[in-house]
Amino acid sequence: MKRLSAAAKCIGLSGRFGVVADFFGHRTKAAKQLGVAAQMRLLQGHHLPLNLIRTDTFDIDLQQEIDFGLKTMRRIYATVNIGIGRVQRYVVPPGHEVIAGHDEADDLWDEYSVPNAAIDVFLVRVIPGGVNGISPTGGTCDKSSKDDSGCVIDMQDGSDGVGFTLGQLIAHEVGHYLGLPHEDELPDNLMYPKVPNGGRLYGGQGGSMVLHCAIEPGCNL
Amino acid sequence: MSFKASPSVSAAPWRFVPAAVPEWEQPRHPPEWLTLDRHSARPFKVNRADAEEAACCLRSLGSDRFGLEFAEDLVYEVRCGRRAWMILFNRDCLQADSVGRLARHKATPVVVASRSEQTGEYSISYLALSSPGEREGEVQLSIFRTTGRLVFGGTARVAGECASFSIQAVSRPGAFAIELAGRFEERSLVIETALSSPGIVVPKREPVAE
Repeated sequence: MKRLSAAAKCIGLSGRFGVVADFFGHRTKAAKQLGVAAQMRLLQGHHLPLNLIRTDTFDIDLQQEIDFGLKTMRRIYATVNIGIGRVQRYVVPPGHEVIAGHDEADDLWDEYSVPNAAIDVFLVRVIPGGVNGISPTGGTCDKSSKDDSGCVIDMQDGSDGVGFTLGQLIAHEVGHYLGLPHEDELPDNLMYPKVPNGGRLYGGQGGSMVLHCAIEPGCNL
Repeated sequence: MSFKASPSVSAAPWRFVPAAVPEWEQPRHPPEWLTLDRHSARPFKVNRADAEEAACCLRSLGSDRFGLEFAEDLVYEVRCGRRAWMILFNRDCLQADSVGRLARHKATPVVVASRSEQTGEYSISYLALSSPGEREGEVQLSIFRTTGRLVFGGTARVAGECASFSIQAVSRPGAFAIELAGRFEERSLVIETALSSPGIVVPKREPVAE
């Protein structure tokens, strides 16, 4: 319990906190067996805070799917020893439910950002056309710079009912934000241009991701 | 960027299409312009684009051109930090007396294209629309995102076949300030000032915690 409190403090939680809602950032209790011990072990290494910002009203099924997606993403990043640290939830006023391409994504992250060190991940209803996620490659950590400061996820395409595709999609776009390019020749890799894919990350990719400024050092537990 | 399992449709089918709105109007209320602090401002570069890159840009636009044809031999590149854009001139606005006509008719003289880091393909990001100003020889310039959001604007003054222009940024959350001034004459862009603020000057909006 003492180590859990220390881990919580390390990711920015203070006072009383809920394990599911605050320590894991979930909004439902649908995702069972979250693995507190595994999460604490990962927090002792490089980890990444996220802001999940919804631009639409999501029903309970989608909220559950986001939680399953987070669990999937944690599992993928754990393969290269990167943890997902604090996950905070936000919402923006109506008007950005549909993001028709890179320009509207630009407009969204140009207009909104959470003033903290976490990567802003905007969850939108749909991105019409052939794209289901948008992110810069090597996103900024200075949200007051002119650079692209977020990524956008298509919830309609990401939805498969179990959070597998959504988790991969968020992991893929955040992978770009952390500097990973596409891996056109590796269909089993998370960074293959089409999602869902094999979802694998290689050690070299992990080594590259941890150099990004959004990655936090390990907690001393 | 990630693609759906069967990418088949254009990525942005619902965009603002001024070519289909010939009688577009300037914004009803004049925008609030951002003033650039020249002490902290940084220069950005506007140069003739490399011919190969210009050809690549025009080729990758394909039919997504808002109904416009662009001059292949007159493409400029804007570089600001890590980002780069291509300035493309509407071929219709490069005919004889075309500069003078800007002071008499509405036009879309220029578009700006940007390159996707992940696909390497270009798409149009900004449309510069012009309309005659209230005074003789004056032209109002409004530069919109393809989403319809007005982001930059200014005025131009036409004298013979030379148009001198100055452009600033519109104040909005997350905006940065710019000052771009120069002239267009003899099918050439001459930049006199190209400065921008080092970062955004209007704070972004904060999403609400839930």
